[in-house]
Amino acid sequence: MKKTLLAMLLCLPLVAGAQSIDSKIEQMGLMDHIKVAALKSTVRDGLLMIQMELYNDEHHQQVAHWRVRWLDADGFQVGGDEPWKQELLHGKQRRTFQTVAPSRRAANFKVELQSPENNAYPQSSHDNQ
Amino acid sequence: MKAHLITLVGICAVVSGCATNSPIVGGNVQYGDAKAVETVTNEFGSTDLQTMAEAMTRSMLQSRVITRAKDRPLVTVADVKNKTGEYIDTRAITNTVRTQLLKSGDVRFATDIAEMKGQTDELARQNQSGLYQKSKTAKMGKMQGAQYRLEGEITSIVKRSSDIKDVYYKLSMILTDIESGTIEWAEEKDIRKTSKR
Repeated sequence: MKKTLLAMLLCLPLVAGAQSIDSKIEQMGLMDHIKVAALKSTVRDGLLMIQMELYNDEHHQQVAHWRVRWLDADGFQVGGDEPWKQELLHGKQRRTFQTVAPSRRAANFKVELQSPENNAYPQSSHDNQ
Repeated sequence: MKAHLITLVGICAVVSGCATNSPIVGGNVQYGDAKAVETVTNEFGSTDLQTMAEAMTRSMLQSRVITRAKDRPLVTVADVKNKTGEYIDTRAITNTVRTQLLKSGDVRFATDIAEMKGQTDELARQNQSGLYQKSKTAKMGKMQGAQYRLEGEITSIVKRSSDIKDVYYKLSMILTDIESGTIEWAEEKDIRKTSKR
């Protein structure tokens, strides 16, 4: 019984981590080839800092667009809309992106993420790209 | 009676010009997403300006000048020199950096050289025109000198072949301690844009 409890406690951070990634990412259509391999955040010198690792599981280049929506402790947006960033991922490449909050008031965040090849578009539009 | 009603509805539709429920006049122009990735041409564009300014701001917010400061440092903005071959309004870059830093609440900005005439004109008008109550004028000799100067330069490398144009932009910025002359922070942001003809 004790061993089972210990095993469950050891698994807990992994499960919590997986859940937290999903809760922090807002995909505009489930991406076909770009995967969020890791997402972590910390506070340094009072600034919320995040690091996101993207992985392209395709052999061809893929493009990802992302930006962060920073929120204060009450859930209000901090700093206005960020510009969208376009990132190129070579075939099978893993890339890490870091950013920090625009203000020390930021206490939470959401990552908006989009890749042109995703399930929000019909297959025909994939073929045209 | 029914025929009159149909006629009335028809007249109303004609008078209202078949208007939709949307509060739009015209319809040939559409407002877009000002933060969208702009890829119309590979000349310097809005996305380059926004991402460069953001990169500079976020880096500076992490610098020791700000994180270790007892009071919010007082900064002045100097030029970002344009060393590219194209026209770029570099003031737009420094204005965006300044706005974002001010909104962070961690930095104060002193009047810079470009805005000094407006500042001194206003002080002179209040103090020398005789139009204002003495007790309610901004006093001469109270302006604060900046501790740090923010400046930089933007360069580009352009390569062309028969069917490809490749442009590489690099923005470098530094923050100099005005009293000691030491550079306390520096950052670079580069962007590559490639287009096919």
